[in-house]
Amino acid sequence: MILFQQVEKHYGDFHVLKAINLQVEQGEVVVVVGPSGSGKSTLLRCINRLETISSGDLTVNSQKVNDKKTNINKLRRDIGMVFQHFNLYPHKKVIDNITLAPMKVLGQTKQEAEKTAMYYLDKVGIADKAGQYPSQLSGGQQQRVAIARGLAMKPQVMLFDEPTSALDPEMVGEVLDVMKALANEGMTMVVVTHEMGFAREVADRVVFMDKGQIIEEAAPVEFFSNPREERARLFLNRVLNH
Amino acid sequence: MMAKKWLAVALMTMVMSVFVLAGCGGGKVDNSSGSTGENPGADASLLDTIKSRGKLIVGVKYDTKLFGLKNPANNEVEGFDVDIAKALAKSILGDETKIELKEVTSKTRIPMLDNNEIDMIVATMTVTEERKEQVDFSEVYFKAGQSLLVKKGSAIKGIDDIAKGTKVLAVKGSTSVDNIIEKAPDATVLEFDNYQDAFGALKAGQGDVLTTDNAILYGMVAQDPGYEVVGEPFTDEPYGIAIKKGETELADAVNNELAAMKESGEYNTIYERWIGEAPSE
Amino acid sequence: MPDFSILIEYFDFYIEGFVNTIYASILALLGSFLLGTVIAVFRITTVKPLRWLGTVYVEFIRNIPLLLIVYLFYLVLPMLGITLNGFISGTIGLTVYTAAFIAETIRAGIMSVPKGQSEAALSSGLTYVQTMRYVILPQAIKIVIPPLSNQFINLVKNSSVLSVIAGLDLMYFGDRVAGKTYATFDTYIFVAVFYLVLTLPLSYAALILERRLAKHS
Repeated sequence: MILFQQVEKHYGDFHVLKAINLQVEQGEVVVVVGPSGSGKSTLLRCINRLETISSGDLTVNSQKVNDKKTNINKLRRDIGMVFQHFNLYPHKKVIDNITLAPMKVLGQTKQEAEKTAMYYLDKVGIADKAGQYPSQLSGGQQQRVAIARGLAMKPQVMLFDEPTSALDPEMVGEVLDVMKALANEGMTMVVVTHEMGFAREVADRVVFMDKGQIIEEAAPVEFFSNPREERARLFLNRVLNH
Repeated sequence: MMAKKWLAVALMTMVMSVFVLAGCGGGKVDNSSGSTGENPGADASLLDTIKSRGKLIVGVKYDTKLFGLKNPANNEVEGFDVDIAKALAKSILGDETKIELKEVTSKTRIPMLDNNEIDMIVATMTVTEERKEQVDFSEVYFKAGQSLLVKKGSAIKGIDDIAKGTKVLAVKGSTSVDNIIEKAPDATVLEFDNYQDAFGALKAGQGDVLTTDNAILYGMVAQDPGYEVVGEPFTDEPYGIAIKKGETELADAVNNELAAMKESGEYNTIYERWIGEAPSE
Repeated sequence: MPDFSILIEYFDFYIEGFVNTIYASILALLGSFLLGTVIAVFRITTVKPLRWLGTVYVEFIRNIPLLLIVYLFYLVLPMLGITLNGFISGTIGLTVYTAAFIAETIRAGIMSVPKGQSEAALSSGLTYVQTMRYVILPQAIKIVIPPLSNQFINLVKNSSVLSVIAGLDLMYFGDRVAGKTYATFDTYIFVAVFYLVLTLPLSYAALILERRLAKHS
């Protein structure tokens, strides 16, 4: 479903992504881990072209993401994204945050869109906040709204860019629970995170990145108990032992 | 009608409240003009002041060809009015260089005279009864008449050709506006800050005809021969030198010199130098 | 105390000028807001030629006196066969001039909206134009209300430039009244009051709007 083939990316002199090869199948949950600055967020953001690649091939549903002929807006409908800082629209109520894209992009009526929005708000457990503004919600609640906003487009894949990094510790759980439920329903997900517990429990596959390269790719049990690569071992020691 | 009155009352109230507030600051605005002739320095007449100062300060135009125009080549202001003013400086102070010229426009000249910024106005100023209430005038030093300037080949050949919708260009605050409205009430009159702007608008086709004193119009023709003065002058507009009310000594000095200049032929020399022909008398 | 007989005698003059000043201000206000917004979007788009166009517009117009721009429309355009009267060319000149300042104000407002907002909108499939319209501009507007209202007040005052090209505005008629009465000071006091009648409510309205918009941020 998502396929990276020899993908390279440069920021001027900085080589951000080096010879990336990665495949994500439908229904898979792939968790990308690695130290800060390893290029994992960039990798994720290439998938819906928030970042452009320098060379190589990147396809989503067999469509070349960076091809000029590809209708990127159309492609993005099918790729939901959740950001570290939620990025809710502060001038819109929760419900209107969610209905905007379905109405403007999919052409749903206000009624339809609101019905869908309420369904997903209920699913993430905050249907009672529909009429409030984002600033009136806690961080955890805001991130759940953001997930509902992504889901309302009925995407084929959801991208999560460090969804819990900006949250107070006591709110991390409520967001991870929603993501777990989503994974259990068979949603295709690519998740960049520092939550090793989540990776271990939910991932079908863990991808470890360092310095712009994919160092190791393995099933979670294997990765966490017996990483093949030295760099992966050092990383795990650092994040798990304190 | 009621609404208009009501609006006037509302505006008055606003203005008054502004003044009440300003009054708290202690500012007193004195804009009285005409009624007084005394100077703050008691008995000294303006003529004495000029003599003790050793310099005559004259308001002239800087934008009026033939009468008062700043020559960009040497930054000197030149023209008929300027030469008359210099002759007056020579007769009062004995030296035509003991003069300071200040730029005036039709709008600013009377306020500047009132504020003692200038001793007299020699600036293509027509003598009118209305103005006589504000200033004293010398004897007439130039007989002008209002006429019309058009692009060569225009269908307008005289005042009678000005019809409804004809756009007539003029200068704000000049008597020519009142005159043209009186003679051609159907015309649309557009007013400009100075002659350059009005002539510029005529050249740009923003109007059909420009009206003002013929002497000024001839100056424009000298500048751009694509334009011509048409028809007979339709007014009698004598130019006078304006002096602050009550300064009779100065006014007498000016009148004596004007008479002497005409006698000596100096006046005719100046006239021909600028207007290009001898005075009609 | 100014001479109220001037106001009464020339009331028709004042009113005609006042009404024309209102017309010119409203037209230029709407026009410069639309044009300024378009130029602002040009300035931040990734499309190079539009970006260039926007920059050239702002840098040129902003650094030329308003009076010259107005002359351009009144005196130079006729050479190309397009003759617009003083009111129209003055209003267009005012629009073009103010738009450059509004563009810069709006651009600054757009830039101050966090990048994550457009990323969220674009990644949900909204087009660039939709992102601007539904997500970025509504937020930018709140930020730019105070500086924008200043621009609009300046616009009303700058409309007095119409007086030099026979634009029949308030200042034009003020000049005419002053020319008739020779009471320069008194005449212009009333002119000032008429301008205040326009500008004071405008700054008050801006204040109210600012407060209302500030509620949800």
